[in-house]
Amino acid sequence: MKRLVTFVVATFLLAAIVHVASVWAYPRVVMSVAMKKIGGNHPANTFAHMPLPTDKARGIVRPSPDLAYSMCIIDVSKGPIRIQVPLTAPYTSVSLYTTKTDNYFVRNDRDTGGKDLDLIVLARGASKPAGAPAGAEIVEAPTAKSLVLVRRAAESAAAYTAIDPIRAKSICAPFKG
Amino acid sequence: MNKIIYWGGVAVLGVALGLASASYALRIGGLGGGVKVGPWGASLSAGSVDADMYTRARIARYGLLALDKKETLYYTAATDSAGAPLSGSCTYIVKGNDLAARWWSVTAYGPDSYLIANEANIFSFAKTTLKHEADGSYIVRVSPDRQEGNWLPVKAGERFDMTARFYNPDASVSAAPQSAVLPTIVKESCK
Repeated sequence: MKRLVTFVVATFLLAAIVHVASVWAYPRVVMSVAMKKIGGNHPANTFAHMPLPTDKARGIVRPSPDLAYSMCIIDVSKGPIRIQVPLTAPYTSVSLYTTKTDNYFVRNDRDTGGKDLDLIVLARGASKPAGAPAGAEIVEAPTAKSLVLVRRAAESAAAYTAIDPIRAKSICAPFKG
Repeated sequence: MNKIIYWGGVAVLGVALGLASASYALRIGGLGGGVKVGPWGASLSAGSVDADMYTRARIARYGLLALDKKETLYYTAATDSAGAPLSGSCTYIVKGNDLAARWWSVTAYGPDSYLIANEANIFSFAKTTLKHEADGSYIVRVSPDRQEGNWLPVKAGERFDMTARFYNPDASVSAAPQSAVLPTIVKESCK
């Protein structure tokens, strides 16, 4: 009888631990896989510009077919990163995600009142770099690595063609004061 | 020997139960939950840093890299307005007015949560890509077969769902997401 009770209790205890551990780990694993897929051979701290998603886009679930996405994986452990993003109508936003999927920062074209988006991303607790331009917004990253995602609404194939050369001017690079 | 079987049994059963219950917990509810407007459900903690462990895992599964509710509200419908699951073998009439947002779109997804392949390469309808009626409303037919007027293609024989995105929702909607007005989804015919 005692052996049976021990068996049941031990099994449920282990099940609870495995349950919590896998739910906890799942977003971290998915994000790490997504970052690898997006990054591929693409170096950190530079933008990759994606075509408009179609049924062939299988990297990230539920992509929006009306959005031209640009992505940059940043690592602030070796110093701040500056992100400069020119705007396009009717909608542009820059969002930053931690390695556990949290969206810790977002700004759009309306927030900036039509000025290009300009951010300097720092490690948590790092001091503001000397020579940071007045117009740049300072953002603290909760994790060393983050994913920077730019969304631009493209209303048609022609609109996308017009957006493409503008977004190519986006910059995601280490900030050298 | 007996001891190995005993503790081996605990290990195998414990791990299996743990994984199965975790997988079940992530599958029930999908990303829905939160608020419901007709067939449309919105998860309000998407992307937010105060998402709990389960929400975060569901986001990773159903809506990775979502934005928080102030930036974008996402409503997903997997049934029609009468509550029947959306089927690619039917034609639906989606009828409504412009969503209360700076920009908006509605996209159809297959059972794998990716876009649905079709000959016309149409995957969504949006504020600025729709043909509106004279009174400003719109009618879209969601169907595996080509339609006159606004058409959102889906795949015959497969279930699908639709996500409506409100980019920069009006303040009234982000303050009370249950008050959002979304289009109705009415079954017209089935094969």
